[in-house]
Amino acid sequence: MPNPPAPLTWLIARLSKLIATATGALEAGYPNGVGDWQQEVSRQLARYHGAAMLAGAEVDTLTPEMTTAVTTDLATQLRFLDKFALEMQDGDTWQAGWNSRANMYAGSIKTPYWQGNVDMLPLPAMPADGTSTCLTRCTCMWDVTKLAGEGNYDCTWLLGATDHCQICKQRAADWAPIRVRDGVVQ
Amino acid sequence: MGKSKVILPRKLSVNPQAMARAITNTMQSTALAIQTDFNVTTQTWDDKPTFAIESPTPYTRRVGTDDENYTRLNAGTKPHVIAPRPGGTLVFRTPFRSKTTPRRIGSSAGSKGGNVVFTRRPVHHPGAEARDFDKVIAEKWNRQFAGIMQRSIDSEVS
Repeated sequence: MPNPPAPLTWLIARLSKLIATATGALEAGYPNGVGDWQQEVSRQLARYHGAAMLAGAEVDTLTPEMTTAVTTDLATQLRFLDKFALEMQDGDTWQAGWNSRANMYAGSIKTPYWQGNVDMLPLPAMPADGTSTCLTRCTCMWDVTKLAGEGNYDCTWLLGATDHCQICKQRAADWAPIRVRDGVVQ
Repeated sequence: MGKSKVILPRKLSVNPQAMARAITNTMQSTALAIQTDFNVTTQTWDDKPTFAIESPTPYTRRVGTDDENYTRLNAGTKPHVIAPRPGGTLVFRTPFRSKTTPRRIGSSAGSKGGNVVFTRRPVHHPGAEARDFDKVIAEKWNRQFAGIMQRSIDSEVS
């Protein structure tokens, strides 16, 4: 099974560290500081979602369409973050699972990375987009082969090296490949 | 279908072919995702039903199966009595553990049970709770539909 792309691994590791630092600081001062924590994590998610799209597409600037895609993915994550922050605000003692839950947000940048990597193709799902049981822990990948002619691609869902959920296994079986011909998904 | 909001760039709205492709791709991608989720619900079955994607019109997709067992399980069955044929014997195994769970997109190993029961008397079957796979899958992909459509639109103008 293929390894995850190095740029994506690097970005996730950095974001993960930033989130862990912010969450550690929140834990130390809890129940104070939830608003500041949410603001910091939101800011970093916005930065890294954009960076992941750029890294995936291997370009220096986001096109308007890429910006729309990034914004859409980011909005989904910020809605989840909002719920999480509310839960923290309503509590009075720090919960053991909050650190790892916070860290899962780092994995959400896989979605814009792969969206950029697949040339913005209109595929049914992206790794870590929340439509598989493994959520942002998803380590799957798209392997896109550009064929001769305009708008012709074979797109294969590849399982990651680590454990995978039933949905991802099925995708690897069913989407092997998804054919795009003349820009139309078959 | 729920309400969805997508951003439609001007260069797409003046290009009917691109617009048609964006809608077709949205429908087909969503249908593929739904088909895969249905396959997940029978992943551990010995006799797997086939889930087909039909296109009754260019902008419509229908995903389903004509497998009777699946349809029955999806809708659920009422409690009923199972009687042996006259002069015959009923044979079944216990304790049965189902491979599927109501409103869950997944399937597990399950178990037919290790004890074989022989009886000449009718038995009361408790029925099967509706799995509602179709409903839960539709709910899931209704929530994703706007995102898939946005991807299809973005793909046309990028």
